[in-house]
Amino acid sequence: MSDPTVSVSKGVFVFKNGFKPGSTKSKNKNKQSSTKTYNSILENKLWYKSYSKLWNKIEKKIQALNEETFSSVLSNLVKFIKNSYETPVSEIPTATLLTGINMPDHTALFGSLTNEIEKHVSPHSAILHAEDCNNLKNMIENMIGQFVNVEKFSGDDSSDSDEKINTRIKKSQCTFSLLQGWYEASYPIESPKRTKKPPKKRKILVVVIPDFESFNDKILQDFVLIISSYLNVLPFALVFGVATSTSALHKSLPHHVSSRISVKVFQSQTSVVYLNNILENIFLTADCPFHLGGRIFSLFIDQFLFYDLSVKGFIRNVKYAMLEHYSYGNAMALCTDQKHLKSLLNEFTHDDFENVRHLISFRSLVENEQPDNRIKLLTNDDFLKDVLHQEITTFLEYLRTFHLFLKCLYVLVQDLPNNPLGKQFRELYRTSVNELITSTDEFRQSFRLLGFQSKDELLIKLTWIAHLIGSEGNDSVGIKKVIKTLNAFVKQIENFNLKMEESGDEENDDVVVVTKAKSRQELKEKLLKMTHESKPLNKYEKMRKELLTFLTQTFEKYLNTPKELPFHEIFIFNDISIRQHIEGIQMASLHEALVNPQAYLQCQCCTLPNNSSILKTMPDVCILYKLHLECGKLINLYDLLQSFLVIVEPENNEDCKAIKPELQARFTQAVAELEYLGFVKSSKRKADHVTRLTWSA
Amino acid sequence: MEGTSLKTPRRAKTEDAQEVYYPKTPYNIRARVKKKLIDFNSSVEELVDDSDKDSDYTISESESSSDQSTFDSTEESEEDNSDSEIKANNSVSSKSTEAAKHDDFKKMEKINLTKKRKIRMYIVNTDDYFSAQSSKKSVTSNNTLDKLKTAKLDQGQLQKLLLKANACKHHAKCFSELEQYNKTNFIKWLSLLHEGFNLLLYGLGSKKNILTIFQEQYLTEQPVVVVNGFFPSLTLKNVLDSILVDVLESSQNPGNHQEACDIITELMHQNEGMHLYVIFNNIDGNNLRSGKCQNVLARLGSINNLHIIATIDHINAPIIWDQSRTSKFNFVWWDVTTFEYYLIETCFEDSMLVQRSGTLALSSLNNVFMSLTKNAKSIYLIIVKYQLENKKSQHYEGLLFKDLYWACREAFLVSSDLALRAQLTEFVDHKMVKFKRSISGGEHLIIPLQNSLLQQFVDEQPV
Repeated sequence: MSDPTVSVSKGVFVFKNGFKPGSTKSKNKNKQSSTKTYNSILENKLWYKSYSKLWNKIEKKIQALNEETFSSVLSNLVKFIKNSYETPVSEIPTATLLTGINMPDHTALFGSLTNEIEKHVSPHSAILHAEDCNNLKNMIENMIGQFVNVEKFSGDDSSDSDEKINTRIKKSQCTFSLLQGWYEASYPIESPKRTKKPPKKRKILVVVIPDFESFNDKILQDFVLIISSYLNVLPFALVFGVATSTSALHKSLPHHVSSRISVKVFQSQTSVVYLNNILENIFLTADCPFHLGGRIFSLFIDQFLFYDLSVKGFIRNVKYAMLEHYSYGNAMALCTDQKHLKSLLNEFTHDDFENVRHLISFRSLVENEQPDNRIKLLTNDDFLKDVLHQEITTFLEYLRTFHLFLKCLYVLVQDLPNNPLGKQFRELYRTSVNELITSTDEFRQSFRLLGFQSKDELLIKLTWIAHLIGSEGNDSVGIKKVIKTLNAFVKQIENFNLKMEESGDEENDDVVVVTKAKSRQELKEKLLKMTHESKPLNKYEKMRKELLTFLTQTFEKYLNTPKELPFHEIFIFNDISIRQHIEGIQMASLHEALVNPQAYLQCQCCTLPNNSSILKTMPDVCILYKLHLECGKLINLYDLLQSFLVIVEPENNEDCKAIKPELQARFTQAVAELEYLGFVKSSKRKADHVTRLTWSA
Repeated sequence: MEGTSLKTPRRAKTEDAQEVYYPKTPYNIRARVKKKLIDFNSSVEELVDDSDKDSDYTISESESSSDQSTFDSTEESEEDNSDSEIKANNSVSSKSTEAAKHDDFKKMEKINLTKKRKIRMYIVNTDDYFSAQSSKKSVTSNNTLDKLKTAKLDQGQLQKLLLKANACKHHAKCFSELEQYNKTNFIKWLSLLHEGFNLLLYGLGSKKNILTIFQEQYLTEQPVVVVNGFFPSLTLKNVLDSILVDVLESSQNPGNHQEACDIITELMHQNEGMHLYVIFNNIDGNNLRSGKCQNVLARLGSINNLHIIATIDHINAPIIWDQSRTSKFNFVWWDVTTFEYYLIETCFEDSMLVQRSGTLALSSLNNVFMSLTKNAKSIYLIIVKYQLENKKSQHYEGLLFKDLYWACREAFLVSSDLALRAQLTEFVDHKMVKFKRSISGGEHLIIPLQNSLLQQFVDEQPV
């Protein structure tokens, strides 16, 4: 075989390709070489520049937001640990943090937890993951190693990295006596005077266990017992991250162990709140020019809600979508801020403009133009440049108002009964980016419900909206007008109280009409009539109606779908085909390839008359797969071979015992492949039989 | 849907009026759950129904495909095309001409290629499980393969025959087109790897070739480690060792996997400019399947400048990753169906139809045997013959050391117990013989080879 990675004696092959690790010299060289290969392909492209600029911005924002939210969530926990040794303790102070099942997000959470602890409580913290702690020895060595070696690290930060490793204490030397010695050396005890003035405040040793459930119970029990016996000399504190519920704690720690710890439970933020937070502050704002289209957005949300609840996964999906979006070509480089637009357009080459011309919405733009402008658009790059600049500026402006008024709408409808438009901001976004939200039934229903709202409720909402629009700092004429009208409405409603009494008489009239009825029959008729004829509106109601029509008009003006604007593809990504790269449809693809190979091969010979038919021309594995679908649990290989032969060579039906060796080889290989793919395995129940491992036909 | 949503408030009101104590919220919740259930049901129905592609997500595809294709000058014919595409995938000829038209726009062509593939949802029908399990004993005939005149083939023969048979000649063009299509993704793969994603390739057919091409074309400047997951005696330690010792040239090499991982992480962090690509042919291979292995691999995958490109073939392969592993791996899935034979992958499996030739074991035995002294050869032959004579007995324990000693003494092969032991040590070192202690305390000698092979070995010896 010419392939160097095929061998009967080796499974791993190394191609060093001239790489030499270690010295700083080679490091620089490597950097250069990597720039040679990768950069030349991507990093000089305009779209990639825009992409990485935007992504870095988003990443930074996410990090900042994470820090902020986590530290507020964790502040109680940190306070608890900080104060745990204020009074003498007999049990290990233990904080249990209920984290929720979105495991992938916890890395960030516990990362900032240790940061907080190191900042506010004690520089000594150790994180123990279940995979590092297969047995008690490993666990303890690991913990002590983290305590002892971290101190060394911070001591000689400036020295070379190689030395750092050498000065580390070996794992096998990490014992409790070492820890005790180290601790006493760091915090010498002056026993008699200690109460008067502690020379150096004894810092707490914090042990963080992020994935409590994945630990072996026995190891944990022993661990707790051991550290509790050192409690008088070493001030330990524990933090358990529990993904399910506190009962997990009780289940794995029996009484004699749990009596050694004093547990306090803390609740972390649910991941849905976390996601909303991230969405509302980062992705669904006008600052982020990249927008997810409705379908993609709901795909990601569904994946979050019904699959993993992981915000990290969501962000990852968005990142993938972004990469996919930008990689369309340089046209997408325009998905950026207003300030970079001009310089970007100046860098555009003819090909880039061509790239823009391939956008679908460009066609409708051309069609709406005058004939001579049409030709200019198609042929003149400079003309297109000006148009692009103008259109994209409009689009960015549109995006700003779109988000602004979407927020306003959210303020209005978020607490309506039954939440016709959804409870979350993201639901509003999804609807409005997908279709014209003002023409939906839910929108109309919401406004009908708004029509029942009392003065106080409306007033609060209105002032909030006015504040939102005002704080946006948008000074276009339209928006200013909106603010003006809104403020007028607010004032009108505020001053309404006095006029309330005037409307009192009308109601009295009604009562009079009802009481004048002579018979029961008449009363009934009158009442019926009254229900049918619409009550004359009082002044407040009239005003409310006016207000609502105004609001509807405003929303109709600003919340139209982005799809109608030219060049919306540059900002809104809606290619659902990336789904298969995010979720993977491995089973479906395998099944489809086996059942209907034409889907992949695009050949003319394998058109299936119906799903279960088997054709001679199909690849052998496919034939055999379809044959095996017809069988029960056990499959006789000899019979399978016969049916295979009937399909492959229908004309030859004389002697079925003498087979052409080629055919036998093909059959053999096909069976081996089915076995390899996990559809059959050899059975010991009967000679020359295989068992089916799947059961759906 | 409309009817119920309009009705809801009215009904709620009347109920409120009639029964004052009736709590309002539960009704809301009920109504919502009902609405959701109806939604869900309808969506499920859509998914189940294959011919009707009206589910939420597929609509978009057809829409966008028609949109994209209508962009070109040949509007009408293409619209027809995309329509027929949705209905059935049989308008191949017109499509190929269409592809030719699009030659200028590589992007477009790519889109078309992806659009052509309509992979139906694969919905596992749970009822099938019960019908498959409930049927009592599946009845099969008693035919065996012995009925065939031709014996089982051995691996070498099989490969030769397969090459000769070339069953899918008529598909050769399709195969190469598939390969070309897969190659168009290479740059995208590389950029994905550099953006912190790892690649997972799935689909029918061996993906080893395409990965080799990818490696040869794009991964020539940076170190690459290729792991054959299907290799039967692969261990995780092998993988870690190659990365640690061969690539990173680390002086430390701890036995503990997690510690090794720690060191790799640190060294990779130090060599910031480098990129290490690890290619796993079959990350779902037998020896990598265990949770512990995957944990370690996932940790490797989460290192910034270590990029994993992995393939899976087994139908249930994705089960080996739980949520935290998946998130660490950060895979982008890629359908790379090649229809290539799994020749290399399956040659290690002992398929029941392939005769295990054992040529490897036999030739190695021969090689060692040839280098032995005359006396040692005779000693070995005594053990072999004894084992062959007793091959019928069910509980063959091996030749007793004492018996061997006396047999050798009689043939003037050794003079002392110690000399015989010295000879045997050599056999044991080459794994030609195994010592076994029986319950009675006697030392037994066994040759760990199939008897048929031994017979062949004896037959080959000059008498």
